[in-house]
Amino acid sequence: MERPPALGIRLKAVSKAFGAQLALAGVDLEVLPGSYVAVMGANGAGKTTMLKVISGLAAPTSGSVTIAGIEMRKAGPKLRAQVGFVSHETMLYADLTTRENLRFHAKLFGLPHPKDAAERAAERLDVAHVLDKPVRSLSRGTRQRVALARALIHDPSVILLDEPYTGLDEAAAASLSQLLELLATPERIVMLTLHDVVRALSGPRRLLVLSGGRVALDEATDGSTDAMAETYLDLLRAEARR
Amino acid sequence: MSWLSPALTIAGKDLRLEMKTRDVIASVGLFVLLVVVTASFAFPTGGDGREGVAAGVLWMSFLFAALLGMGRSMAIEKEDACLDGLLVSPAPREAVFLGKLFTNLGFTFAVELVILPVFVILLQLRPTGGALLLLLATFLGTLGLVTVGTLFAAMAVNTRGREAILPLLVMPVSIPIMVAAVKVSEAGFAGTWGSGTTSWLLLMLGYDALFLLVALVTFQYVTEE
Repeated sequence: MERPPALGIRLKAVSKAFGAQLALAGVDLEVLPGSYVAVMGANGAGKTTMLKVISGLAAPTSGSVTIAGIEMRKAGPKLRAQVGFVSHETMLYADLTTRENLRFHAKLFGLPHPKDAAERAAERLDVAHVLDKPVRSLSRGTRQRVALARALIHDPSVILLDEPYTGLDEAAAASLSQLLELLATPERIVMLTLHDVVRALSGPRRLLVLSGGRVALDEATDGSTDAMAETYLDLLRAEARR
Repeated sequence: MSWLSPALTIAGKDLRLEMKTRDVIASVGLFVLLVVVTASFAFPTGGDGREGVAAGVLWMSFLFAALLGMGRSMAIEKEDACLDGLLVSPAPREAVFLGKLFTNLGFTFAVELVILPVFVILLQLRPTGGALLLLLATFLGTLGLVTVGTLFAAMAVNTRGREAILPLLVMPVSIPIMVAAVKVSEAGFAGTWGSGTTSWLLLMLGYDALFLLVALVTFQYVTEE
């Protein structure tokens, strides 16, 4: 598939409320192509909501989210086809096989040869050996890899991952880190939420910490990682005291 | 990408799932069969107004069949956030709605096509002259019910008591189409084109068109967090 021009993400004064609960409180953010961003924060800090707002799954209560200058809520199919989203739920049909799930999503994304695309995606994520097994029968780690294969099947320019390391053993987590490194090319954006500060500072090139729905820290990770880890932990302690 | 291709892809996926699990057809089919068999024991064997009672019983069972099927079909999308998977795809929201509508129509029609002859035989009805009218009522009535139900099932899917909420949402809004479907079916069972039949048919057509349009326009907002 021919890759379109690189896409940048911009959040302008984005707030998102669920009833009286404010999940995002005026977030301003710009993420340029080539960014590999780790989003951290305590539970309820607004990490998942931010990814959902960027992906178009949730509408901001106020403010705007644009990708390549186009507002995500009004984005047409072409722009949505450039975003791959992995949530901490797999978005897979448990009673269908891996092959059926991947082929379904390939068709939904309008890929020209869904069967081949499904097999390629499975090989890339090392799940080709479970292509004909029902997703229900797979281990948590393998399911997570199939979920990644689903989200990457259309080779998206913006990859959003919500806690992708959850439930993975060390070997699977290391292989995911390697894959994300490979995916973080200069024309792509990879943005993931996670809780592991060591992992967040070892791969991603930018660290974003949310606290109470606001960006509390936004720095490149190539400096002093110990100092950043300490800053992050201070923020978590402050959040816990609130 | 047109609406039709992704809609058919979604409906095809649902059909594949149903072939594997037989969740909807088995539970709904059995339920409706039970209603019809029970009704056949209580049904009067002669006298005036049999057709009206038969049409009423028939549409009550169709309504419950549709509600059960639609609730289950949307619950499948809720498990493991599969609905989000559809919504982040480039498929237009309207196509996602149409896909679920096709699925629900397919399952409901399948159950109805089995139940209708059983109903006619058990209740000893003779709709020879009005068979086409009966089929038309079944098609238009089911289309209206399922259109409203698919939209409300998407609304109810994120609520805690979705099984209880869906009938509460659908039933009041479906009163006009239910009344019209009963009236046209009554004419179908009687084998006569009554004076008001055309008006009831027009009401069904108008209801279907209106709610199809409303559902297509509002589905995006219903599914958005």
